[in-house]
Amino acid sequence: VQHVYTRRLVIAISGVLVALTMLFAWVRTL
Amino acid sequence: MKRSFGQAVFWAGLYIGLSALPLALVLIGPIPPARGFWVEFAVGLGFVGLAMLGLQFALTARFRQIAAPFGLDTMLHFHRQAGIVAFVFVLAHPLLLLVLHPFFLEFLDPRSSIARALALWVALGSLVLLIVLTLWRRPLGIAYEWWRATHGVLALLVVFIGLVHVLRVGHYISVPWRQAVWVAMSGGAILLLLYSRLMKPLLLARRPYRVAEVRPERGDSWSVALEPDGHDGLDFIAGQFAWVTFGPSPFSLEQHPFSFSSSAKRAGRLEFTIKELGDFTAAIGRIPPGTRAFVEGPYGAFTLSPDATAAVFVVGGIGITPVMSILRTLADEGDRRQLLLIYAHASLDMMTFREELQELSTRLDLRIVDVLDDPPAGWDGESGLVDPRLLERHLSTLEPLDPEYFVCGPEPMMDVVETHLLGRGVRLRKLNSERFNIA
Repeated sequence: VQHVYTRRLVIAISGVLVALTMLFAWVRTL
Repeated sequence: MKRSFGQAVFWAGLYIGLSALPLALVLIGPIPPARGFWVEFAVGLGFVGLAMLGLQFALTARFRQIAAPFGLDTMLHFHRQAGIVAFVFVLAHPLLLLVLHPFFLEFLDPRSSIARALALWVALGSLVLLIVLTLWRRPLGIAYEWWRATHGVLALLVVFIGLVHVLRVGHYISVPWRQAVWVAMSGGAILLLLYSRLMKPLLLARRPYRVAEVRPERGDSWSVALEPDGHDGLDFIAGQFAWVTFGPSPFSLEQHPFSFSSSAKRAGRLEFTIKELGDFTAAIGRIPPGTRAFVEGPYGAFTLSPDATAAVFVVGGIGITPVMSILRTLADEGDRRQLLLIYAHASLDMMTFREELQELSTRLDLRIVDVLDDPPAGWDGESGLVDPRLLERHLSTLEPLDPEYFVCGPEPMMDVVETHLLGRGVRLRKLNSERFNIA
């Protein structure tokens, strides 16, 4: 189960990183 | 030390910060004109993916301080999952760019630059190979030590080419200080690899052990006793494990994680109990006494808190080893806390530590529930699989004490037990589990 939490953590972190990358791309177009 | 939510948030935040650092670097100082949202997004994914690949080296450098709250097996699981995400990010970088502008195909076209195309194809090929060899190592029949050797080399190749690619494209990195930061970050990753593959074995070489005894145990297992050779050994907490190398050289790639099975109170002599499973462990019984050995550790958070009021161990087969260390240590300490051991094994004959567990149950407040896969005629105890109904029959006596739970055994058993315990309201910080498929 700890590994289920690890997987969820990685998924959450990946989501944040994709969002940050999108924010970066958006800031660049300003 | 036990994991806490705060620590998890801190390390997750640091991981995100370091992965996104290249994006922040781009936005500081002079910036070239933008090339549209999706191109910038694809470039950003490349940066983040490469930073994540660099961080992979830190996750496997086995830093005890970072691994302590979560357990090294969780760290390596994170490494595995994060590696897949980094792979997707890095691969999405060229794919998105090619879809957006076929012009980018020039990067992979040997006719425009043979060196550049070759390097990028090698990097992409290495990355794919890295993932395939890791996810399908066993079906492909690749030995662990060969996988470990190629894993390091391929990872190094990918990060090195990645760095050269970033510097050569130079769109964002033309300013010298930015180049310096990138070289420093990649250098850091390479240093981490050198640390774990070169420095650590050199340090281990100064603290050798020798095999003092190899004795057979029930259940096709062997207990291997090691004694320090010219130093005072190491201290561990009962329930932890170490990476062990047998043979003259600490540089051997045949380094395997084994749980200590001996009492933590007898640090002058370390014992590991190992079941004959793979090629390597099948030969354990033939290791001659006097053989040199190296012990890297201790690692792991499968340990009983000093303030725990009681403990429940649910164990299958050779998963008994870390629990044996805990029980032996508690007996040496004269502990009087209530303990329950639910121990699933094939048969009474195959029950590793059968006699000693009986003896321990007289010295400790320990109740043992045997769960036999193959019960003899007239057996009136538990048999079959460890399922929720079986757990319910035995857990209720200890439940008012809010015990700590320890689960170690085959994957399907662990899934059932962990799910059931969490379902009946056991908090995650009270649930310790150890999985051995980490390597």
